[in-house]
Amino acid sequence: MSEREEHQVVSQLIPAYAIGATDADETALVEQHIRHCEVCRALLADYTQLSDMFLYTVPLVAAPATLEERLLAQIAPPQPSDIKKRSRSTSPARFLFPRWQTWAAIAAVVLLFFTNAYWMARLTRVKQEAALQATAIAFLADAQRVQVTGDALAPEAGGILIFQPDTSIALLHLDHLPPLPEGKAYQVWLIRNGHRDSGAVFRVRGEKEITVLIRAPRPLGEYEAIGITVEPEGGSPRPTGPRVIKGRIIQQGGISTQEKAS
Amino acid sequence: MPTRDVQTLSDQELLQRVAQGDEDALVALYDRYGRLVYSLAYKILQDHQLAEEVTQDVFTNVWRAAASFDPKKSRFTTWLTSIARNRAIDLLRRRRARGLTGGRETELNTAITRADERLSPEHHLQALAVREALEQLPPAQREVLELAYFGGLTQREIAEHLGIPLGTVKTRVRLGMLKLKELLSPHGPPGNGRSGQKETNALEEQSKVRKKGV
Repeated sequence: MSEREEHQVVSQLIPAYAIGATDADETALVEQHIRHCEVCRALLADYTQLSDMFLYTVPLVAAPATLEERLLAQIAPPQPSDIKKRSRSTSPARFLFPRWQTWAAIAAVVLLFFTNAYWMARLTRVKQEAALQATAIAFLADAQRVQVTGDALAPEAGGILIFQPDTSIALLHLDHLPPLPEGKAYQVWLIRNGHRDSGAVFRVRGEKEITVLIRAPRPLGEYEAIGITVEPEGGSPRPTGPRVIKGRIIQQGGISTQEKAS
Repeated sequence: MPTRDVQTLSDQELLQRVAQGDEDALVALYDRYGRLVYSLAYKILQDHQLAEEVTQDVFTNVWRAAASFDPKKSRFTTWLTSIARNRAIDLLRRRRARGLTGGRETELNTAITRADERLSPEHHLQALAVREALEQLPPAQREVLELAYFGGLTQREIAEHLGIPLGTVKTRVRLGMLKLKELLSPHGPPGNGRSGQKETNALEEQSKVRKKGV
């Protein structure tokens, strides 16, 4: 295989390699090629970063409370005094208690353990709910908001953009946007120095209210304005359809809204 | 329970302390990422007991190998989760070889992740964005990506598992990853990623020419 052919083959294999889906011979080929090909190394870095994002889809599950203790027990070297303690503590019970009392004591401990485990699980759930609320409140408390209003085509429509100026993700809550015909979608544009970046493409299926997640190439605080146009389904590289929503993010001297979301 | 000053340290500082044998630092890292590691292992293995084994193994490995971590090569979380994923997938493969696992659940779990107090609001928004992007993929592409990433299957094994041609699997993996790249690129979703869209279209055309019925 020529160098050029190898490069073509490897560049096609890289997306699969990044998620661990290549066979042993393909893996060996990729690893050998990237040693000397800077282009493929950069491509692999991109796809590796992308494959890391799969972690975000993992639903968080609470680990058992005893796991931390077991981990510590595993890393700690055994102490001679512990061994002595253990050997001394097991035998006297047999002499002090009759057999049935020993079993009763064990049953009581087991019952206590499961009762505790149940209440611990309940407590963990309550703490998780509280953490979710705290997270939402933390975002909203630090967030700023600007109002967006409907244009001539959708005079009743409007909403609020909630964002933190130094992050590139925001929420846009909209109401009364009219449903669109098949093959059409709404597209959000963020405007900066006359340049328009796409922030999201979405459809409305008759909902009165909708919340859209905006992902911008730059922090929201760098944009001057926001707009929504009607575009072909899938979105356009630049606005081509009529504008239905508009709003200013920055006015002269800084961000337009000084209202804190609460 | 680690002391307050340990809890405020960065991952890198904690790791340095772990390398010096500080148990509190290891507990602080476990408090931060134990749930993520456990959840990833559970997602792959679908078994709580095995997920516990993997989590314990991963943090024991952190304890022993903290000094070998090189922050210039990767972020701590990338290092940690790749150890977790590799261990879980090794275990899954061994069990699969012994016929101990059933058919894997292939439907993407899009349940909203419960908030973790250690994770920032931006993390949750990012998670929402990733799930949205995955939902935009055709189900067939999403399925092969999940079988590869969480099922630890190679493209050949996926083809056997699904009873479809290897070429079809390869195309689905490539197009799925390319589409995700476009959707999650810092340059924004399609609309900005014009070159990416062209790349996708070109690949789709190539695939159609090579093999019909993908």
